[in-house]
Amino acid sequence: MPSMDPFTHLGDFEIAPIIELLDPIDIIRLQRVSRTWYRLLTSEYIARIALISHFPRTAEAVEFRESLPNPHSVVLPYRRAAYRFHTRRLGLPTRVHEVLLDCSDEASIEWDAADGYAAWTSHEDRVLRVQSLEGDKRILLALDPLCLEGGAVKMSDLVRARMNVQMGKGLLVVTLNFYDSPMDGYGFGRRALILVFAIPSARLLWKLPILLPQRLLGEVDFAQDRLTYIRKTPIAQNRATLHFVAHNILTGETLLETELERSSEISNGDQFFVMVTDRPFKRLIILHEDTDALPSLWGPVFVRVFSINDGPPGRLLAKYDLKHSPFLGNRFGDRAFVESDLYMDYPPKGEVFWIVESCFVFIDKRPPQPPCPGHPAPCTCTYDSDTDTAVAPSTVSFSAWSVQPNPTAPAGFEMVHSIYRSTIDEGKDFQRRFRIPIDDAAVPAVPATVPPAAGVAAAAAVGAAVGVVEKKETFRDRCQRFEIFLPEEQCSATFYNVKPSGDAGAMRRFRIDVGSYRGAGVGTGGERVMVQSGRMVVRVAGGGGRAWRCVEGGVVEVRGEVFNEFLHGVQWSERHLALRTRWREEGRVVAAIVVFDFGCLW
Amino acid sequence: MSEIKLLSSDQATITVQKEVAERSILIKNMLEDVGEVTEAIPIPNVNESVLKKVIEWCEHHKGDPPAQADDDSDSRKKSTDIDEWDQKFMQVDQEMLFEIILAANYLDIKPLLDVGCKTVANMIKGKSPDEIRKTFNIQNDFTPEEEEQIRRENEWAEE
Repeated sequence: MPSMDPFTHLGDFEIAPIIELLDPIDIIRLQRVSRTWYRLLTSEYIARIALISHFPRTAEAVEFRESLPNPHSVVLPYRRAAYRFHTRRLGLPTRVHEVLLDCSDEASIEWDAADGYAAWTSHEDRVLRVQSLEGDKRILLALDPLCLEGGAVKMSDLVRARMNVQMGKGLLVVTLNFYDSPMDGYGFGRRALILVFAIPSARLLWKLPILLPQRLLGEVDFAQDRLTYIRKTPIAQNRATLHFVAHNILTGETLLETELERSSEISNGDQFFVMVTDRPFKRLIILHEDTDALPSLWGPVFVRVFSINDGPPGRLLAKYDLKHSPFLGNRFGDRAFVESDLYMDYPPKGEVFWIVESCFVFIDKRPPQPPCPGHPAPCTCTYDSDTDTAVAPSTVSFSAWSVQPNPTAPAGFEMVHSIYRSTIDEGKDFQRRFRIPIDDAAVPAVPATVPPAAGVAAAAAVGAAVGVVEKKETFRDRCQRFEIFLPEEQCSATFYNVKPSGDAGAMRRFRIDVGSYRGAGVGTGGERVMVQSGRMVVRVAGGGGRAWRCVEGGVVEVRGEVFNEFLHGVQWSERHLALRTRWREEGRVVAAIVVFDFGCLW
Repeated sequence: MSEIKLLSSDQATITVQKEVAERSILIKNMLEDVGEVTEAIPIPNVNESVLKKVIEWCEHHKGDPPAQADDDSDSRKKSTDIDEWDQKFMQVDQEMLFEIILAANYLDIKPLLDVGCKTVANMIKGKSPDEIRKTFNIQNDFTPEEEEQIRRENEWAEE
C-alpha cells in the first residue's frame, strides 16, 4: 500500500489550515513521525503559522510582528510559547522559587516579582530589598535618606507613607503616597514621591515628588521606556483638571504632559481603580467608579479611553459603562456567596486592554444583603451582574472586557465582552482537593439524602447525619475559593484556601489549580462565551521549602495565607504565578514570596 | 435554470447548474469576466472523479448562506466539528480526500477546503507518532539514534 502522507500530497497552502487546527503540542510531538514531518514541523513556515494561530498575543508573537518586514526566526520562540502553554495546562511548573521576607512588620510589606528578581519593602522600616529568585544574595537599601534628600518630603511624611512597588524592564519603581487627610484616598489624590531604581543593583536613577496643589491619582504605570501617571490639579472650588504625564523611565525627563479631555467629569471625588497605557503607547485607559451616582457600593464602573498618539494627545476616544458590581450575589441557593473584583491586564506589547472580573466564592458565609439600587436596605433582592440567568447552579460566570483594535469601528477599536463560565463542584473544590485537616479527617461524606427509615434506628441515623452536617458546615466555613484570569492566555488560576481548626487565623494552606478555557460561541447579548475545558491541580516532582511543600501526588501546598486583599497578594503573568504568603512559626509571623515558573529553561 | 459545462483534466465534460458551479469563486469570477459561455470551461488540475465529488458537495451546499465577514473567529478556526452530511461525504480513501482538498483550494471553495482540512486534522489530532505512521502508511525513516534524540528534545511534550 503506498504512503498517503498528507504532508507530501498537499501543498503549503493546504497544510497551513491543518496546522491551525492541531493542538499546539501536536506540532512538537509529531516531529518524530518521519524526516518529512520533522523538516516540515520544525520549519520557519510552520512555526510562524503555529505561533500566530495558537499564541497570537504572546510576547513571542508580538515580537515577531514587530520584527516585520525583516522577521526573525520563530522556531525557538514557538517552542517556548508551546512549552508554557503545555506546562500550565498540566499544572506542572518548571520551577518553584521561594523568597523569605525579613521585614520586621510583615503585615505592611509591599512587593513585586519580575524578570527573575523579587523586591519588597515595608511601611514599617522603609528598607528596600532586592533578591534574585535563583539565589539568596540580597541587596538592602534604606529609602529614608533618598526620600529626605532635597527637602521635598519630611520625616513626618515618611512614617505615614503608604508604599507601592512595581518591577519590570529591569527597573523598579517605588511610590510613596502621603495621605494628609482621610479625604486623600482614591479620587481625591495625594502627595507622592516616585523613586526609580535599576535592577539588580538597586541604584537610584531618578526621583520625582508630586507636591501640593498637584496630586497623584491611581498608580503609576510604565509602558515601553516611559513612566506614566495621572496628575490632578485644582482650578477652582470643587473643580480640577487631570493631566497625563509621561517621563523617560531611565532619566526622568518629561516627554509628555497633556490635559485629558472632559477630565472634570471624573476628577471630583470619583473612585479611581487603575489607569494603564498600552504597550505601543497609543492609548490610555482609565477605569473609575462613579460614586456620585449612588451612595453605595453599587456605583457604575466606567472605562474611558484617551488618545496618547492615536490622535491629538488627551482626546477622549470612547467611554463605556461596565455595569459591574462587586457583588455577584448568592448562588447555589443559599450556600455560596460570590464576590468579584476588577483589575486590569494587558499583554507585554499588545494594543489590547483587558478588564477582568475576578471571582471569590465563600461557601456558607452569608453576609448581609447589600442594598440594591432603588431599594432601602435591607432587602431580599439578589443581584446577578451577568445577564445570563440560565447557568447551571454549579456554574459561576463572570466577565472580562477587552478594548481591542478594530479598524472598521468608528474609534478604531471596540470593547468586547466575554463571559467565563467556571464550574464549581462543592465537594471537589472544597473538600477532596484539600487534605482535610486532622481534626476533620474522621468526618465522613455527608449522604445526599437521609434514606427513609422508621423507629429509633432512623432517629439515630438522622441525629448522626445532623452531627456530621454541623461538623462539615464548620469545615466549609473555613473554605474560600478565589479565581483569577489571564484572559490573553485563556487560562485561570484557582486558589483554595482552608484555615485549619483551632488556629488563631494566620495558619492557612493553599492549593492551586490551573484551568484552561475554550470558546463556546456567542451569548444572547453578543458576548463571547468561554467555558472551562479543564483544570489541573498544580504539582511538582518532589521538593519544597519553608513556604511550600509537595504532598501526595506531587501536589503543591503553599503554607500560610495570602495577606490582605487577595488580588494584591497574587500576580499572574504569561510565565509566572506569584503569591505573597505568611504563616506563624515559633511564635512569630513569617512571610514569603512563592513564584511558580511555567517557562522553559532554554 | 442555466447550465454550464466543465472539462476535467482527463477530458471528461460534466454539465452542472451555474448556481452550483458558482460555489467555486474561481468559476464565478471567470463567468463574470467572460459572460455567457457555451464551451466547456477547462479545469486542468482536477480529474473527472474528483470533479464529480466536488460538484456533489456544491450541489448539497448550493443554498448555504455566504460566510460572514467575522466568521474567521478563533472559535470557528479552532473547531474541528464537522456537519454530519460532510462527515459522510468525506468518508473516502485518503488519496481522494487529499485530491478534494487540492481541488477545493484550486477552485477556491473555502468551505470545502475547511471541511477537508478539518477531516485531516481530526485524523492527526491526539495520535502518537506510531499511530500517525499507521494511519497514513508512513515509513519511519529515522535511525534509532536520530529518533531517540528528537524524543529527548521533545520529552516535555510527551506527557
